[in-house]
Parts: sequence; structure tokens; C-alpha cells
Amino acid sequence: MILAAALDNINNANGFSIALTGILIVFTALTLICAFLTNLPRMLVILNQYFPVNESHAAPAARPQSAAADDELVAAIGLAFHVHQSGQN
Amino acid sequence: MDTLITFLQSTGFYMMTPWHALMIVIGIVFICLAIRKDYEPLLLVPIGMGIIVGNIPVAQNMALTVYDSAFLNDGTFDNLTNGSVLSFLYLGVSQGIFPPLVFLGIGAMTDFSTMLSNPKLVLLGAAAQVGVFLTFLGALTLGFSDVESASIGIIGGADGPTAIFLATQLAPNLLGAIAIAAYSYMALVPVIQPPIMRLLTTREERRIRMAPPREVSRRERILFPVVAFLICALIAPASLVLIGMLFFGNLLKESTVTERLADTARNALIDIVTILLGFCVGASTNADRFLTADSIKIFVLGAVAFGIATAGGVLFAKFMNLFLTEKINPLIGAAGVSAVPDSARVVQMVGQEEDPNNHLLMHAMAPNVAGVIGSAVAAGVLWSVLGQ
Repeated sequence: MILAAALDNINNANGFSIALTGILIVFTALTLICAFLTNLPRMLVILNQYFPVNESHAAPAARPQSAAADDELVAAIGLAFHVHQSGQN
Repeated sequence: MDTLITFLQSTGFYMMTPWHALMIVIGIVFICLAIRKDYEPLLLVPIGMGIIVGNIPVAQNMALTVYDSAFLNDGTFDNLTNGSVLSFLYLGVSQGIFPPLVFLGIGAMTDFSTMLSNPKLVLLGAAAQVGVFLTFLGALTLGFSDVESASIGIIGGADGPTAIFLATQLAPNLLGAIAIAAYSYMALVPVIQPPIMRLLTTREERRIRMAPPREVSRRERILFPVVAFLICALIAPASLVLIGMLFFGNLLKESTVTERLADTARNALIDIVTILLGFCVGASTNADRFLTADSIKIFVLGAVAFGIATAGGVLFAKFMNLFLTEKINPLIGAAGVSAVPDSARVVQMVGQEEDPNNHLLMHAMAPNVAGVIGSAVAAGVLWSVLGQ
């Protein structure tokens, strides 16, 4: 009796068809995204031939000047060490 | 003396009912869970404090609660001074303004790289949405109307902003209960999901190791939000607002030329909106409106929805393994519910119980973010079908 009433509620609201349609649409959308992502690397190979990656638009390198700064620091430490050693002699 | 008596009769102590006191205790429990157990503190502290604020009984003629709005039923203003401050803040919830802004922030902080490197995991985000639609049927059997059932079902998406957004569009009368249920279950992900995950998987399955994801190029990361938005919005236009903001936020991040905007979206903006959203949702749970039989049913259905969604993701991962040569760990199916990143963390935790050197977190993030897209599409579908 309760089960029949519950089924009636679902049928009256067209529940089964809404639920089935809904989950199918969600799967369709995400399956299309999946298909797109699967083929994206291949599409990019073609795209890159006509529109090569322009490095100037990429994010700036994280530490372009740090290496130079490090070299200067090493040179300064080396000079200080040399002066110190020279003074001792 | 009369003045003193009148004043005493207007105090919260005089007007307090056991139900108000119960709600205040619930608010305190939320705050304790956040602080002591670290369950979603960014949500539970504002919601808990909001519950306490919303359940201080006030005199009828004082415009203090979120429900004391200056809006008339026809949408015009009665008199601005008739509306409470909280009611104006609550417009962000009741008019569905806050959820898309939260999605903008989520998009700006989400890295879709693992999903881009292993596209088949996207399907797990779809499988977990089965919880939404089965709970929709469950709510119908309990006598809720179709629009109310749809709003309750979306709790299974484990996505608070989506649940709020759909409830504001379809069933504003249930907004408080649905919002509290959705956020409560999101906070309880570490409690609800592990038993279901262990029950549905074998020890060998939980020990499966997955290959590390490949490196994803910048072009892929930039193209993805644009094309994925077009796919979702053209299939389910009603999901346009949520999906649009999600992918807009992601484009701000991945383009790398709008770093300031992305930084604001994923930090300041989402923090402000989360504070207002959580507090207002909490303040909307006045005992007179909130403590009803319907609310209890919604909480039960919410737990069922969450359980089914988790099981749906895990079982679908096992189903996929029947056809895959390179097996996936079925635990990551549980991350198909879109509680980002908590359910992915739970996957990592349960996986490491069996194999401490198995790192599933990055793999679980793929179905996790796919679940965000899936629940937004599910909400769009339900709104399209039932909101006419």
C-alpha cells in the first residue's frame, strides 16, 4: 500500500523519466568533455603547426635574474675570502 | 516599573523557547566541530555563529532577522528602513548571487591538470551524480513536490553553492534546511565516506597504484575552460551561471596574464562571500521556521544522497576496470562527489591505510573537479526541466 502510494508520487511527477533523462544528460556532457580532452593533444599538434607557441606570452620565468645574483654573491664571497687570506699572508 | 517589566518581556531570556535553545546548542556544536575536529572550519564557524544569531528570539515589531525584508511580494521596496541589515545581506543567498561568486573563486583556485592528463576519470564525476537523481526519486516518494525533490536531490552533489543556487530557484521555502544539510554533510565527508568505500572495495583494489599524470601544456589548460564551458552550457543552458563563473575563474588563473584578478577571486572575493554566505545561511535557521518534519526528512534524504553518490562513484570505477588494461584505484570514484578537496583527501587517507606509499590525492582530484562540473550540470538540467 505504502509502496503503491510512493510509486504513484513518482509517476505523477514524471519522476522516472526526469531522473533517467537527467543522468543521461550529465553523462553526455562529461563524456563529451572526456572525448575532447582525449583528443586535445592530437589537435594541439596540428594547431601548433599553424600557430606556434609564442614564448613571449608565457608567464615570466620564475627567477630570470636570480642566477646572476647568485653569481655576484659567489664572486663577492670569493673576493672577501681572497682579501682575508691575502691579509693573513 | 512598567517600563522595566516591558523591557524584561522583550529580552531573549523571556521569549526563549526550548526549540530556540536547541538551535543555539546546535550552533555551538557546529563551532566546536570546526575548532576541535577541524571539520570544514571555514564553513562551520560562520554557519554555527549564524545559527546562534538567528535563534535569539526578538520582538515582532523589531526588524532584526533575515526574514524582516523590505521587499514586498511584488518585488518592490516597502520602505528601506523596514528591512533588517541581515535581510539585505541575505539577498545574496535568496537571490542566488553568492553561489556563482563562490564558483568564480573555486575556478580560480582549481588545477584541472590531473583531469586533463587522464580524461577517463571525468566519467567518475558523472557517475557520482546518480546520487542526485536517486534521491530526487526518494524525495518524491516521501511526498515532496517535484521542485522540492529536485532541490533536495542536489544535496547528493555534495556541493553547497549548487544546492543553495537550485533551492533559491526551485524551492526557496526549503532553502535553510537544504543549505544546512548540504554544508553539514560536506563537513562530514571524512565520517560518511570511508565506511562505504571500504565496504565496496577489496583490499587488493584499495592497493592499486596508478601511473603518475603526464605534464599538461599551457595551451591545453587555456583551451579547456573555454571548450568545456561551451559543451556544458550548450547542452544544459541553465547551468550557464555556475559553469560560466567556474570556468571564467579558471581562465583567469590559467591565462597567467590576469594574475591579479585570479588572486582576488581565489582569496579575497571567495573569503568575503563565504563569510556572508555561511553566516546568512546559519541565521536563516530560526527554530520557528527550521524545526519541522520536512527538515528532518531533508537531513535523512541528504545522508542517503551522499551515500549513494559515494557508492555510485566507487562502483562505476570498478565497472570501468572491467574494460581497462591499466586499472584505476576504485577508491578515487568516491571523489566524484564534488566536496573539493575533502573527498580527495579522504581517498588519500583510506588508500594509505592499506599502502602508506600509495599517493592517490592527485588522481582523486580529477573526479573531484569533474564532480563540480557534473553537479552544476545536474542542477542546470533539473532547473531546465522543472523551472518552467
